[in-house]
This record gives sequence, C-alpha cells and structure tokens, in this order.
Amino acid sequence: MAKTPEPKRTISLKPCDGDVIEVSPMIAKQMQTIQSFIEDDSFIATTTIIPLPNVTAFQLSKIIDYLNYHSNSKAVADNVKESTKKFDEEFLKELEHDKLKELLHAANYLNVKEVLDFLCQAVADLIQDKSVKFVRKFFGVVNDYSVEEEEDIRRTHAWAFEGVEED
Amino acid sequence: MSRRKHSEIESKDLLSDLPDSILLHVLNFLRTKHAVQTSVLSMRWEHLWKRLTNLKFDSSHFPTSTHFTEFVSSILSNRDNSISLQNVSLRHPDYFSPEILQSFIEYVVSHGIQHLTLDTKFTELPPCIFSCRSLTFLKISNLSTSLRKTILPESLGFPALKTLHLDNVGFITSDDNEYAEPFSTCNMLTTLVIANSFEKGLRVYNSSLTSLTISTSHQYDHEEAHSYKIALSTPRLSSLETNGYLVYQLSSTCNLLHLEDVNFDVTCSFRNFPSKSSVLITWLHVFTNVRTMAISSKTLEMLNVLLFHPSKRTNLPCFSRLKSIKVELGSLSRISSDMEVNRIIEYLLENSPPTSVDIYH
Repeated sequence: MAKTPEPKRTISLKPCDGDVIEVSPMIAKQMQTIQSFIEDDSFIATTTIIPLPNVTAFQLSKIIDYLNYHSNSKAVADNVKESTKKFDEEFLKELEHDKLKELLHAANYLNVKEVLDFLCQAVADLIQDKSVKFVRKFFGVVNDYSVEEEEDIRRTHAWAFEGVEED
Repeated sequence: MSRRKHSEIESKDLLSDLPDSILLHVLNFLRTKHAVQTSVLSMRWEHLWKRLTNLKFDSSHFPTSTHFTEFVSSILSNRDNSISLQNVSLRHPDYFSPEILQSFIEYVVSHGIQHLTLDTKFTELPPCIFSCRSLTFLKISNLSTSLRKTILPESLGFPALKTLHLDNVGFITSDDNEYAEPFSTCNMLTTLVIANSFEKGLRVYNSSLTSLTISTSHQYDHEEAHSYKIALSTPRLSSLETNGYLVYQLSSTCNLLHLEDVNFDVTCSFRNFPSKSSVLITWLHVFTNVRTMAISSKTLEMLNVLLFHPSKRTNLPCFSRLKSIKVELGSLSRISSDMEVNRIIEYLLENSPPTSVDIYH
C-alpha cells in the first residue's frame, strides 16, 4: 500500500480576512492545528481549503514568514546564525505590542511550537524587570486583589521582593 | 487616573484568554525572582509560578548571600511538588553552604531534572546526581579561584547524559593510575567540554562521544605543565575544538577516522618555546585524519614560529583526508598578507597532499 509522494503539493489556508494562502506541506506540518486537518480522512489536498476563522491574513503570513526563514536557515554555519538573529530582531521591531499579543494568540491557535517559543521569549524579554504596573498593562490584567490582599501577597512572598521598589 | 483605568479596561482580554500554559511558557523564560513577583498581578497569577518547569537562580539580583539562599529554599518549599523540572540554573559566585547545595541538588534530581547548570564555588557534588536518569545536560563551573578545586569521582556514571561541560573541575585518580578516566561509563555522552581542568593525566575514553572541546583560559606557563597529558580514546569523534592557551600534550589511541572538523584556536607565550612546540606537534598528529581545519590567527602565529625551524617540519603528520583549511585573520593579527598565510600553510602541509585554503579577514 505504499503511496508515491506527490511533489509540489501545497496546502490551502483561508484566514478570516483576505485571500487563500498556499503553504508547503513542510511548513503546514509545523502547525499542529493544520496537521490535524490534514490527517483527517475528509481532507483532499487538491481541493480542501482549511478555514482559519481565528487568524488574520497578517498573522498567518507573519507566522509563515518566520517558519520559512527558519526552515531555510537550519543547520548551517555561524554567519547564518548572525543573519537569523537579524531577521528575528527585524521581525519583532515591526510588531507593536498589540500586534505581538495578537500574533501570540494566532501561534497558540495554530499550535506552532517554534513560533510560540520565539514569541514567548520575546514577551519575557519585554517584561523582564518591568514594574507590576507595566506588566499588568501589557497583559491586560485587571487587578482583582483588594489593597490588603495585595499587601498580604507581597508580605508572604517577601523573599521574592527583596530589593524591588514599590510602584 | 481615570484615563489610565479606561485604557486598562480597553486592553483587557487581549491576553487574558490565553491559556495558563502560554503564560507559564512566558514565565519560564523569566528570571525566577521576577516570575514569582507576577503573583501580585491578579488572583489568576497568584499560584501560576508554582508550576514553573524552568528555574533560573542568579544571586546578582539579591542584596546578600543570605537573601539569595532564603529565596532558593523558599522556591523549592513553595512550588508545586507534582510538577517536574526541566531546566534549572544556579549562579552564585560565592561559596554556597554545602548542605544547601546538597539539598538543592537532591531536590532537582528527585524532580526529573533534565538540564542543570551550576556556576558557584563548591568542592563536591552529592552522589545522587551521578546516577540521575533524567539528566541529559549538565554544565558545572567551579567559580573558585583558589586551588581548592571541585573534585569529582573516579567514574562519573550519568546514565542519560548527552552533554557535559566542566570548568575548573578535577577528578579523583587512584594512586596506581597515571590517568584519570572519568567518562568511560557515560554511555549516552555525545558532547564534552573540558575547561581549565589541570590534570596531570586525563583519558577521555568514550565510545559515543562525537564532539569535544578543550579550553584553557589561564596562562599556565611553568615547565611542568607541558608534561600534562590528555589521551583520547574516542572512536566516534567528529568534531574537535581547542581554544585558549596551549597546555596539554594530546594523544589518541585510535585513528579518529570520523574526524570531520577541527577548530584550532590556541595561543601560548613564547617563553620556553621549544617545549611548547613539541606539545603543539602532538596536537597536529591527532588531527591527521581531519577533513576541515579552521585555524585562528593566534594559532597561525604559533605555527609560524614553529615551522620556521626546518627540523620541526620533518615531524609533521600527513593530513591525508584534509579537504580544506580555513584561516581567520583578526584585525590585530601580526600576519596580515595572504602570501604569508599561504607560506605557513604550505609548510604545515609539507608532508600532505594539496588542499584548498580559504582566508577570511
């Protein structure tokens, strides 16, 4: 029952806005959510268009850009590492905080580990050593502690707040 | 004040519907001190840090050693004990109380630790770490500058370990052995880095090892040091790198037929050069079967002095499989012209078939 692999087969993805985007099976494979579509019996590579109601064309193309760049530059020498670093920096520079968070949502929905790792690291770099106020604002956290409760947390975790200035 | 509240509410839900797993993913990239501080953000965040799988302890973010020690033990006693650990690092340039370090290592080992990095001053490690079945990556740097070294047992064990970095660490040798032979029982080991390990004799005997780095960052110049030896017995070795100062004589009991890359980036003071040149020659003989060799400008300068003596050149090996040589010339290099480089390489390959030479400036 050996199947002969069909060369140049692409997977069609339909974001919630904009046109269908074609990706190579190798890229699609890195998105767990897409992968489970492909493995479904009703999936026909030539005709099926996978709908992605939670992902915009912008988010999808950013994620594909990232995967494309990184899959082409794997397992090569130091000068490639340099240019990969540059690509990553440029990639983040173009993203405002809100866009970065949206992209995190999209990467989570598509379940693409490489992009998730990269974005989570980027968020960590952004919030590392920032004030509680900054981090709350960044994550859109509404403080549901009373003043006393928050004080209590700080007191019981005093060992973690040593040398930290109050806001 | 009211405007601030308004914008906070507007931006709400942007990330708040992300699952805990993603928030934890972010927290795992933070220094642990900061990760714990997120417990004041809101009730949802209060206990999130307790499920961290990566812990990064760095004493430079604490006012005193006592505060740091308290932090480390508070984390271990307050975190969720049912969650395994993946990646833990501990950096503390001062002496760590042996009891604390022992219980720290016992804790991480009993929680399925996979990657462990220790940078501190210590003299020994608790036995449990050597039999740890989950540990695949271990990096230990003894930050002590005194001669009081970290001493590891005669045979290391490490049943699952793939990568081992040792810096400023010594080994027990039994009296009747000229060589310490600690790695022969590490059956999964593929990558080994040995830095600043001044053994009189060290045998790297390992049948799975593919990548070895030997580096020495201190100038170690007295005559005796040039009788220090490293002997390889690593049939699968494909990548060999050395950097820093040239100290050891190197030898190999097997032919290293899989040796693909050598990165030769060492220097030495030119005092006692005759004894150093014979040390240098021992390295070149171990490289005999290499495919590609990268040579730094510092090493090139050393080769230049060595190869200036025709009598030394007769001792050179034949690099029969060598495909290419890469030479990197730094901007401060004393050797600057391609012609000079080619002359030195020509001497180096005097007993070898011709090969391609690439020079990078």
